[in-house]
Amino acid sequence: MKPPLNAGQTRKISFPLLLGSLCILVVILFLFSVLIGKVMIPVGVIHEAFAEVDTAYGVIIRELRLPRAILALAIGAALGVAGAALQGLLRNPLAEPGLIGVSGTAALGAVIAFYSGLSVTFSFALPAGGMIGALISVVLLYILAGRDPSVLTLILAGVAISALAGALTTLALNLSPNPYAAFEIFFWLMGSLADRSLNHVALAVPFITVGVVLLMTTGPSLDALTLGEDVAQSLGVRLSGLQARVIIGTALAVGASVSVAGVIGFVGLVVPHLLRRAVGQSPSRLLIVSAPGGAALTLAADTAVRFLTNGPELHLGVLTALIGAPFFLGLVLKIRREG
Amino acid sequence: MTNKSTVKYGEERKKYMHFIIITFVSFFFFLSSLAANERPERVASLNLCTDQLVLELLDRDRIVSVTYLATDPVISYLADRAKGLPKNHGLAEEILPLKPDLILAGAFTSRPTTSLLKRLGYRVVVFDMALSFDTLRLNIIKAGVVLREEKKAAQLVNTFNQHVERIHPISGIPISVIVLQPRAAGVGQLSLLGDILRTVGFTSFSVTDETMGVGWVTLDRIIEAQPELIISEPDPPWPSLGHLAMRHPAYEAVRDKQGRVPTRINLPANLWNCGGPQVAKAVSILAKARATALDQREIK
Repeated sequence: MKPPLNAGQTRKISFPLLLGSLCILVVILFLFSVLIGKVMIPVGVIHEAFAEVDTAYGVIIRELRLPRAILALAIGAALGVAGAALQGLLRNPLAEPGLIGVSGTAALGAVIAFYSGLSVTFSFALPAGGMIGALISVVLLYILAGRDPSVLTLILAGVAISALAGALTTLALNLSPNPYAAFEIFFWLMGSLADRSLNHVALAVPFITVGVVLLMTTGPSLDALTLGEDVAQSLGVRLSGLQARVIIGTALAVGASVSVAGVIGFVGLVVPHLLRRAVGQSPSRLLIVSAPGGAALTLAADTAVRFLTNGPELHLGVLTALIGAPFFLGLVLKIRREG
Repeated sequence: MTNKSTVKYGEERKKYMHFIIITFVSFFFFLSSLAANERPERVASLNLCTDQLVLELLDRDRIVSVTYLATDPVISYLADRAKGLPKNHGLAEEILPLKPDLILAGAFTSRPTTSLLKRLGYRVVVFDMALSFDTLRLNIIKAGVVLREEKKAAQLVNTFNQHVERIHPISGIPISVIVLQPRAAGVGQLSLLGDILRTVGFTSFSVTDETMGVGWVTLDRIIEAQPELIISEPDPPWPSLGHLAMRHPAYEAVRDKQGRVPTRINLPANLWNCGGPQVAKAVSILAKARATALDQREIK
């Protein structure tokens, strides 16, 4: 039995134990994600995925489930770490790539890259579009709300950026020669990993990896920043360098994720929020555990969506929003109580 | 024995056809009495499928507007004929200056638009989506009546019937087929495509048992079903996520139950997305595909 938690108190779990158990959880959920779906794969046939002769199970594992699980792992980690890093930099627990408009702007970039036909001739245009979109929004956000840790400024800046991104996305779709573009994007924006292929993995995962690694390097500086900007600078933290790493890391990780999976919201909010106490409020440790934490949440959610509805699959972004929105409201109430 | 069952099948078919013809004729008179008006000379269409009917039945000088979709050959069968005609985007304000004496709309045309046009005193006739060969025939006859082109319409239906009757599928031999559509896969029992596939003699054409117009099949179930034929659309000239999904690399690895690569059939969407005479072409493409698939089996 777990001892009851006292509100406001920090509960120490040994960090290696926490990290280790999260990683084991990720491995188990990864395996589930490969085996479970509308077609159930028996454990005994996993080797068929790499056999000389293609079998139905082998093809399903290699071409469908494996890319899906890899993307859920990478994108979940990216969103978790990006959330933790943005929260550290902006010293604001509500900073989340989806909420503050980064995902929406990344989607705009990807939509332009796809519906202009650019990504048809040059496939890397898709993640590039996503990353450029994300970069623009993080820079804008930092200009609008960077030095001001007030929750209100951040959320308002995010609302403005999201609204603009949404309007421009609609404009881009109206200009597209595809008569179904708006219909397609309506669903794509809800975020999904269904029927992605190894091509998507090759397009997105390298950038996501670079982005996540870059974000991970900001840990010590973010730790120092909790003491205030002046103290951090006196400890040798170069603020502009830190900002640049968080901004570029977020743009790479979130931009590439959104360009293949659409908008999967709230992962970057829920995961750091759940893990913050367990790591004793340390931003550097939070960054590290948010990677397996985000991966676990996304893998679990992406496996669950295969069964939650009978007809067309529920979109992953819908499920994460259903989980995440109550968390967000709870956080807002908590911040209001604490003044 | 086979002979007997074929005869019986034919008889049933004849009875069925009689029933349809009687329905048509009575419907025809019913509509004629309603539409005792003069011949419409300025016809506007607000829906891609009514565009096809108008373009099929009328001379250009009697058409004042078709939708902007009508010139896209990917989705519009008569795109060539629509070229140069004034386009509308389903907005009342685009229609009013054209002073049409008849407006054709689809069941899914925006309600505010059609009711506004009706309130302003325009004659608006709404057409249901053709979800079966029966509604397809009805729509053509109905269009013939309201456009006062009854003879042309009857001819079109006749030609269509002859085409369809010419198909004599070797029934009873199941061939597993999967139909891919952008943004969906599979076909429900109650759809125009469902009727097309049934006519051709595909007995197991979908791994879903959904009864809506469009079924949803996940890609893993398509692979598991090991289809012999994969029916899909040619790629459009514009970028489309839906068509991109139909090019998923997993389809390259799909094998049927004999381990063969499934035959891929291109069925242009404009042959069946609207109910019209062009559906007969879809029927013959698929009938040919089925015959080829059976031949290949016998060679083996």
